[in-house]
Amino acid sequence: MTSSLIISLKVLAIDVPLLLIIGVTLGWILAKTEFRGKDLVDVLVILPIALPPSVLGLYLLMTLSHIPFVREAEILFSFPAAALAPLFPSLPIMIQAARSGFSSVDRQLEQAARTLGDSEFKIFWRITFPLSRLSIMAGLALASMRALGDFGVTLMIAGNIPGRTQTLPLFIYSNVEAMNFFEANIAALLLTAVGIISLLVVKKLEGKRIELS
Amino acid sequence: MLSGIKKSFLIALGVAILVSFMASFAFAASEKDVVAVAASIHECTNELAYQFEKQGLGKAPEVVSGASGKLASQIMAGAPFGLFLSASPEWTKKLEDEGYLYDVYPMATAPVVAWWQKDEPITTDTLKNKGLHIAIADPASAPFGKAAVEYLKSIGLYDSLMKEKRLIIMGSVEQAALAAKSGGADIGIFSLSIAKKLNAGNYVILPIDPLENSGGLVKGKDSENLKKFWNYIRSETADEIWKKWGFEPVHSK
Amino acid sequence: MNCLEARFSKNLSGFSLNVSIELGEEIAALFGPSGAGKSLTLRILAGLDRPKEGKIVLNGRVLYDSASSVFVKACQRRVGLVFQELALFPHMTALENVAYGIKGPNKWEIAKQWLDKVKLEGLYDRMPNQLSGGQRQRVALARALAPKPDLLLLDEPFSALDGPMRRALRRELKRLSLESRTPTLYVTHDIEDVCSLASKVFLIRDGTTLATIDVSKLWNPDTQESIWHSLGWGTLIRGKITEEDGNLYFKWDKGRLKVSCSRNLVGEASVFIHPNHVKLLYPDVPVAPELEANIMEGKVIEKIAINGSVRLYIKSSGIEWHAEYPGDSYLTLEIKDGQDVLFSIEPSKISVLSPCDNSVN
Repeated sequence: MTSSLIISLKVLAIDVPLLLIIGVTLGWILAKTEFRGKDLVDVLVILPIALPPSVLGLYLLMTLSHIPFVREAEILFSFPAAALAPLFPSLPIMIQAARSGFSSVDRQLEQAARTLGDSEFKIFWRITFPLSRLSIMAGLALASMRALGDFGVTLMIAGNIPGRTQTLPLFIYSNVEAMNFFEANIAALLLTAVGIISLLVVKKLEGKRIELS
Repeated sequence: MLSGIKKSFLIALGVAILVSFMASFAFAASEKDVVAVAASIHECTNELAYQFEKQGLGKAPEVVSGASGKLASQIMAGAPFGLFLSASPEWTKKLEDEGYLYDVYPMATAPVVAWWQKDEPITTDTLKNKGLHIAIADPASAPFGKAAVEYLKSIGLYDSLMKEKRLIIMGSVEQAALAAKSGGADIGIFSLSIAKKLNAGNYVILPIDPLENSGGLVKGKDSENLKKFWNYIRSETADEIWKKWGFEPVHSK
Repeated sequence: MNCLEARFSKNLSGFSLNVSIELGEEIAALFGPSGAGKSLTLRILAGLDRPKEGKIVLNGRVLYDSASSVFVKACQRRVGLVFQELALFPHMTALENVAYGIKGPNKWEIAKQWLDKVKLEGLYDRMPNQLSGGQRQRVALARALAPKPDLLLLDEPFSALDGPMRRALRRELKRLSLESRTPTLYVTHDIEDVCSLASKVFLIRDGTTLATIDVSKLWNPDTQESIWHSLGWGTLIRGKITEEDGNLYFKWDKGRLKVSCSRNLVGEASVFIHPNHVKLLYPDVPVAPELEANIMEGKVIEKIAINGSVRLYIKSSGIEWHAEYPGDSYLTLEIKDGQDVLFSIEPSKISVLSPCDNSVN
């Protein structure tokens, strides 16, 4: 079980920063800009949430295995795939949280900052981000949990290879299948504990946010 | 077109993705060999790998198990399995013909059993009892599932089981065993090796030819270590382990 | 010499903006009914909104010119704007708010000085939600002025304040603006705010600047008539304030109203009544005590429904009274042209404009 734990931790270490950076960027773009085709992007961003993980995994598998570079680099069934697979179902959660956080910042505050001489970038750092920080952190916690617990998409494009791509959720599955219930239960308890802790963190952040507004 | 802030964000985005991607390659440090085995051979291979390393013959590979047909598809999709042990020659032959496998040989035969968790003994007639749910592996991808269907047809049970929806098709023999053990089905048809692993209930060996387990090395994904492992499990020193799990070892070469 | 010369137009659904403004080192008011385009004008001057066509020049710098496609971004215009809702940054202290737009190593010092100037010394570390309405207003003012803008704009800066606060803030604004010699333009729909503070007033209605008036000339009776005529908004009457048995009254040739202003306004004066303060009365319902003093009877000359509101012109006592109320009020009275109505005005809501030196009430 240790190797699965380590693999899951490595996946988190890679995914959490990516969720933050990509989620905040796309969330900001969707909240604050207009462009042609924005509606389409909106749908694409939300789509992974609406699709069953196995369908998502299947589409990813089909797309990836047809890109020549991917085959040669042996990305499928490898750790990089296990690290990136959970991003697909969890990024939409992060993007939506960031987006709604940014949208809820009073536009007038941003306009006031503009009249006081700030460029768009400065406005983001000094006004928009600090005021939506709590929403973003709550979204990050939820998205990270989704990434940690991913099963279907990881299984499809990374496979279930112990020591290489077998994350904790996959570990649980394999052990149940092989009827090693003891190990499976321990791993499940671990994931449950982490899930509960992160929910408590989210609750605390939400509480603070309501206080401040 | 894009204002300064959007540009710098997209650049940061691109850099972050690139860095993480490359980092994940670095993270994928020590790669052990991986052997893909049919679900029925799972436990046996675990023990073989353990002994292989204990006796100083080489490094124990990681073991991935599943239905033989599913594993074969993964190998064709480029999965990093260096050795493939299938529950039937059908899949190894297919891979060999398509150029994925070499050094293909049979290594053991595996009887098919019907198992239930009750204390009373089970016979082939028991299968014909009314209202029983029977779990088998998927005939499309698991040799044991295919064998089970053939047997049920031969005793005239298949049609009624299908009509009355009493035939439960699971992904692999391990899952069929899980179904039977957890009560989702009354009886499971799978390999003797799994019945031995369950170490409870009762089973009867079905009067059909045991399945011939066959395996081969995967071109381009094997290693010296795996070649040694492949030779080891077909050698006489490994006989004891095979027999313990209900297999009859087969020697060739 | 003019610091600001602006002329621009913009078309919105059902509304056409046509503005022309010239401003020197002085304080000017932009006055008109709500919906006239005042806030939009300020936003355009600040660079937060883009007109269709026109030219804006501030201290010789072209901020906007449709002819040569010049548009300077808001962050580079050095135009300070105090929003109606203030828009103080809720996650920053008063000091941090004021220091926000100041550049350079001394920004905290300068910010403290500004807070002292607006009489908020010692409150540097308070958060906006720990300050009173008047204190917040002053922080907003200091914040806009601290970066030394070339132009100061204020959107209804006094609307949320009551009498004494309002007067205090007007004095503050006058002092700060003249001290820093910053051209100042503020928006208001309250005539008192105009008279007490500005040297010049731009009248705007339905999107168009109709006239630019010297406030000192506002007292000229002829100017008054034509202004109100062109604005077509509110009721203005010339007459006198008298005192009778302890009460103050405003009298004109055909009528009188009880007023509540200071005693030293006795003499020649004009009164202005905001359309929202002309209240219709139900014939069979007891009248609210504050309306008892000024009950009048008149005839409806014209009833106009506009944008969910009703505009009513009533003839009574020789005056054309302008009333305005939401479309769903007074439905049971079934007002029609030519109908007799009862109405009244609260004494405290009558703005007395005295000709002596721009001070009001």
